[in-house]
Amino acid sequence: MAKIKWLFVASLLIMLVALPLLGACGEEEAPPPEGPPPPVEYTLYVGGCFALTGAYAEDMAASLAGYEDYIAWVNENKILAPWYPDKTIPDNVTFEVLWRDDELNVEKVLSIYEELKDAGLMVERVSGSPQALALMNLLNEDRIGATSAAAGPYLLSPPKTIFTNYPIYTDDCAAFADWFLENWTEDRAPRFAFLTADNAMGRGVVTDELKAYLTSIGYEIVGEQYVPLVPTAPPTTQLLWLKDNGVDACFGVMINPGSQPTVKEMNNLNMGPDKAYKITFGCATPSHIQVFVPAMGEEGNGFVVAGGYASWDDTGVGMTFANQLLAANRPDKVGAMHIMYVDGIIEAMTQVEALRLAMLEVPVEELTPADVLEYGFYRIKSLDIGGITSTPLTYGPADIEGVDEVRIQQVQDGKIVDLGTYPCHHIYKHQ
Amino acid sequence: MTFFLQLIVSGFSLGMVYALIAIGFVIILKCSKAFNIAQGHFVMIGGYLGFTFLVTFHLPVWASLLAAIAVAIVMGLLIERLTLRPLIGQPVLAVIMMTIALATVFEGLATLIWGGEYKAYHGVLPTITLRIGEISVPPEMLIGIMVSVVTVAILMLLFRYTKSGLAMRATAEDEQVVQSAGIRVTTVYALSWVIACVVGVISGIILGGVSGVMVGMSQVGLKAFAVVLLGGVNSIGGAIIAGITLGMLENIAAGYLDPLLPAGGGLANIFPFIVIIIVLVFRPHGLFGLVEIERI
Amino acid sequence: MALPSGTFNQSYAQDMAIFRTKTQWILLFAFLAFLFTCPLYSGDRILTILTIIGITVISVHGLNILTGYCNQISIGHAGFMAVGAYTSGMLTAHLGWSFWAALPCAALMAGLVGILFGLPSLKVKGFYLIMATIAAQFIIIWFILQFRNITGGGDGLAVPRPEIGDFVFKSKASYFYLVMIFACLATFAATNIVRTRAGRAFIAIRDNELAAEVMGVNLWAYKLLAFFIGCVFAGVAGALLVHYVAFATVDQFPFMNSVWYLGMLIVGGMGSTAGVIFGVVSLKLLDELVVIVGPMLAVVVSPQAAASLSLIMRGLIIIIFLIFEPRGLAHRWQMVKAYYRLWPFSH
Repeated sequence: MAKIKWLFVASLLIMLVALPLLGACGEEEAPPPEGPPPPVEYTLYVGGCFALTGAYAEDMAASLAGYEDYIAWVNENKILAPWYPDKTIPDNVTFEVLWRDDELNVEKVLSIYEELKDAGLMVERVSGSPQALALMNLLNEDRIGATSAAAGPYLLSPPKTIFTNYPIYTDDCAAFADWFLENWTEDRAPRFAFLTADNAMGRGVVTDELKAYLTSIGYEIVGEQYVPLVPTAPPTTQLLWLKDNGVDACFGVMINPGSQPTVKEMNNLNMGPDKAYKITFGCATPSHIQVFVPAMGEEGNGFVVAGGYASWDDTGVGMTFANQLLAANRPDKVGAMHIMYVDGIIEAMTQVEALRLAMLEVPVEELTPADVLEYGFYRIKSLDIGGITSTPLTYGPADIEGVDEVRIQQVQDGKIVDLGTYPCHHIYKHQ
Repeated sequence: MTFFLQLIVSGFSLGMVYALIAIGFVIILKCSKAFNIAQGHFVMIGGYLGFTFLVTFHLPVWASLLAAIAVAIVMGLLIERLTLRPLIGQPVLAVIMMTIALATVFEGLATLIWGGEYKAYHGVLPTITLRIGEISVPPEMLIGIMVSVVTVAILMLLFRYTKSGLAMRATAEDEQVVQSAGIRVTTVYALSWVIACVVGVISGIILGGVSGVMVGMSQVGLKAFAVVLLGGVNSIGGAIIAGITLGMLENIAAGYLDPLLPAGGGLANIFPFIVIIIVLVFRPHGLFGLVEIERI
Repeated sequence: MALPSGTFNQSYAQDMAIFRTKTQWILLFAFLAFLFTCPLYSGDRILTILTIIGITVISVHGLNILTGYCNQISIGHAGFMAVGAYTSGMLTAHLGWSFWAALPCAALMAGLVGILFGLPSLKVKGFYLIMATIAAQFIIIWFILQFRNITGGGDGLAVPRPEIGDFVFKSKASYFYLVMIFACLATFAATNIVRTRAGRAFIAIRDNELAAEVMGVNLWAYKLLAFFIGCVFAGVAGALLVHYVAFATVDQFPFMNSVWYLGMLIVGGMGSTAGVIFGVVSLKLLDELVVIVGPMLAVVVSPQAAASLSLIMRGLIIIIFLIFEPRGLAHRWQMVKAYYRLWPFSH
């Protein structure tokens, strides 16, 4: 009995430790900018919420790795990027990545957000649609700029302070439709349907404005079909429905666990651009083609991804830089890294650039999150990412979509083929 | 017509796997009255084990299956001995909470060991392509059906002809009588958890071969609950028939009703739950369950 | 050992009193004073955590009446919260109702939906009822997604913040007060509901359904009443949650929340008002602990490993807890109280 009692007391103590820790953390990491006067070193934080466990775990872990490696490089070289030798970081400023695991849980995000704000994080990041939806109003009210790994159309209505580095899903879809129409040779109007993930992210793409656009350029809209975010069974029914309704092109927002089984089942049902039943399937960018191709090989032929990053073997300065960072910091992961590593680099670069621009206007010790938004994020114009994104990033109060063009990539013969870029139409839902 | 037949065929193959998952759940529910929320997590762990043995270690399929079953047996024994045995005699809710905690631990373990990554092993499992006219069966599914049938047959034989199988059935009937007959109930409990883990892991490997494995795969456990309910808690045969029925119904509903709905449906996901409500209102003990008569 | 030594109940009123001695009253007021002065000495972060805890307490009180007192196990409580949340959200956002008018409607609506999904409880119990409530969770969320014209579907719904006259509950501190007032009211209501005729009927149903029916408890009415009351609490909590975020999405009401609400009840102790508070506070603090420990562990292992280790740790703490204290924190609290009241004697 005594043993049990002691064990119980011990576990209670562990819980009680939580209390002082909660208080202590807020205080220990008090905002350094308020510290003693100049020649002292300043630490500025970047980072934010990462859902390191849950459905987006692998994406976010890679993204966080990108953040860490890039920030380590910036602290060493004191410039923004190898191709920006003039964009220097003041010598007395070092950056540090601050992250918390929000488990994709909205209630957790709320308290983490406050914690990071108290800790002196002047930028934020949101790691998925649930978090973006929960935080976007708070961020806007608090005038804090955030980078995002989610790009739902809700971010555009009206623009708030969450900035994306890949196109909004509805724009991906419109660009996919533009591309498909260019290659359409038959006389009749192509029949279009949505085949998308069954959650807020996937359902966000199905909007009346997008349907109106597609109809206006000559599509016939057939309907929409939903696949679970993480399917436990092949989406046979949904695909058969497309077949039964004579759909020529379908598009959706899915992550790889959704798009891979879908394409696999398509092959099985003899559906595809060069199969017995002709249909082209496209996905918006969270279905990373750089992850899709190694897993699927030639089985994935014909699959289209809109709004993605450059492929790993791209020869632009951006991808070269990313490969160098990876080789220097994580040699064991070369060739096996998730593409969201690149997202981490871009997001960190955006946050650093925002902080750097704000520091030009306001002395570092007086910097506030609103300054970083006002003089930082809003003044990022044509930030070159070295070809990783389809165009350089430009942000402003009414422009939270960093890129202006959508890169269309297709799997051909088990390889990634760039099919060019198509303009963003900024299609969003009016509320 | 092709549309309809194809829906039936793919629903059938899916239903077999659901049934397999449901059997694990039923066995635990029957033997130890525990509502195992973590059953779907056994499936998820199974999928990852399949990836590890088949892809990382390049083992042949039979060896991978055996290795995964061995891991499952150890897992089942550990779970029972360490977490559930101390709860014997505690209220049912404490056991439910324990399985919630186990589910959390499994999710954490999967993220720790496999990075929470989406692992696919397309084309690693042996495939049999079957095509009748335009109707095709997912290649891995056919193997899945066979494995399911064999597993179920083995379980049936176990329950009918072996001593421990009989002990398990007796325990489900009346624990006290079993104890007074000199059977160790704890052994029966351990066995039920081992079986649940093994069938969970097997179905995980099958599902993993079909659509890949991810932490979110544990959601499939929820479908198993629906299967159990439809089939009736007391009946393993019922679980099989219910699994197949549900797999087909789910497909047909999604195929024919989805287009009629205002926002395009997604009915396949919640259809099992609509079935649950209907069953509960009209035939609460399921299609094949026994009606329990209660006395004070 | 309900009373300190030397205190005896001499009248019915004394026997019924919740706060029996002066010390208890003083402690209550000290606690309330501490609670309501929290904004003075704690930052936004602590206030956010406390606000969320307050909202969860309201919700779990409802679950406690339903599950802890009436033994109708529900793993769909987050779904019922969503009903209240969206009712209030749509009334305020689309029709321009005031929060104060929308809140009772939200509560009522959640209660009615609760009755609807409680209907199977007349025929079934245990495992079957658990299934019905799980079904409720998924069907409710699916319905919200279907009617995207009025609910916003996957894009969510922007809802206004509550206001009185010109004063808007926008700051963390003001919303904290709002939630805490509701949480106190909910605690007060929950404590007393179970002491009424209905509450005694619930307990009778929990302890033995057949016996209760034989005694003349109308199972049909009282089970549905339990569902209604339980879901009214959920509706209020859900409404408070979306008005706090000023945005409603279905992701705020995931299935795992329903599971964890039941978990909080079990950890705290079923069928005890204090147990609800113990359970919610301890599990929410455990959550926060996990958040903080993750980055600390990351010094040693990779960030993701650290995050998953802290998840495992949370599971393990609950497992250890269940093995050594399966009757909940409230029970342990009673033991502690009995121990210090009797000290230095053991009996």
